[in-house]
Amino acid sequence: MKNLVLNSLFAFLFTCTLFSAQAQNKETTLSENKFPSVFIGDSARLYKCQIHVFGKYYSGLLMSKKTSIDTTRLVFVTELGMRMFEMAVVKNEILPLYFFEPLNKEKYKTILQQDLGAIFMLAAQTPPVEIITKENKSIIKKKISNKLFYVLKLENEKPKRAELKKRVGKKLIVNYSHSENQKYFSRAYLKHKGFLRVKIILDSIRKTAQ
Amino acid sequence: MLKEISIVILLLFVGRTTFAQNFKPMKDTAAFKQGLDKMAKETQTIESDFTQVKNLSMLSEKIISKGHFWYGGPSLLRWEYFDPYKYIIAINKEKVLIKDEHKTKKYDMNSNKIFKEINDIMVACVNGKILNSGKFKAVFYENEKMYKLELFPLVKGMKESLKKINMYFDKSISSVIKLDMIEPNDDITTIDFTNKKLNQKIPIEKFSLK
Repeated sequence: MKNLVLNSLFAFLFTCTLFSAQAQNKETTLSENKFPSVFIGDSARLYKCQIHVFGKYYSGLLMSKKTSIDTTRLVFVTELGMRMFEMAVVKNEILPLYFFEPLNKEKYKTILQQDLGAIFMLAAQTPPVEIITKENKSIIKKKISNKLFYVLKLENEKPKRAELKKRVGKKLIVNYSHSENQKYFSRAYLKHKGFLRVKIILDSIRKTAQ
Repeated sequence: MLKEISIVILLLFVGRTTFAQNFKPMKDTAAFKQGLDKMAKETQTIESDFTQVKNLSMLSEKIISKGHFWYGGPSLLRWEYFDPYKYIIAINKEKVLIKDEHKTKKYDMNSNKIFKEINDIMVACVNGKILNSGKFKAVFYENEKMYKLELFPLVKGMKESLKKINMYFDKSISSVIKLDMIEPNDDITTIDFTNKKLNQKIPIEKFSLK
């Protein structure tokens, strides 16, 4: 009799926990209204861009522009006007198109693809994702592979911090800051954990392009 | 009636502008080369405002930057950008100095072959010695107001990143008034020099960024 009561109690508690977990964690696809994608709309966005990669430093302007319904182009040019690289984001996948001589090596391409993808929160826009919401804060989780996870933390629907996590420890962190009333991030600061000397800083600047 | 007259005036103006841009092969290239040699010999210093327009053909977008330029001799150069953000790049003999957000970085120009190449081209374009560099095939044009020099790279490494340079001179061949740098994908960087002051004393501190 005692065992029956205990078993019933355990079963009841388990069911309650399960329902509670289901209510909190829902797997869903994201709508454009819910998630602050930086690639919405046809207008181009311009960023001051600083890239520290494997001991080399490049600075200049990064322009993003949606060129079709599912494609956005990213072009990085130095202050003097030299095009250093160009990538395309097609259906949330980032693809290299052009890399100028000093960056035209596999290790640079791979790291810049991954890191710009993390800054522009592409994983969070690729269903299925897991969303946990509590009051004005949300966490979006995406399994990239068996060993890699992407986590995006939002506050009032604005991105605050993104992390690329391994099973043990973090791989990289992106911190976002916002100006008041600004829909998009005003600054994204990406830094790798460990010994990898890679850092990317994007500062949104007023657009002087046509 | 007034509307019709306006249209006729507008068409005449457009027609005139189009005509003014029409370049024909230069009649007297020997005289032009002489003028260019004279310009190179007489040009000790240049100070000028500039507007740089990077035309991204694939994105149908322009990135416009503005600043001030100082040339104090073949190894003394300063590009100071005011817009879209403050950024200074100065060349002082074998050193490249970059000032970006209160931080000054110093590089050895010989450690970066590409940078040295770009600098050499820029200096040779500005002081008119580019024809003697042996790195370009030159084609000469003129119209009513200007001379135009089209330069096609001959060096293998340069051909991949630069399709052509157009240099524009006024008819007195006193200095370069405009530069177009055309990349293989037809992206164009145009630099317009305005408010020029030739052969005026420039303090040496302008090239040291302290």
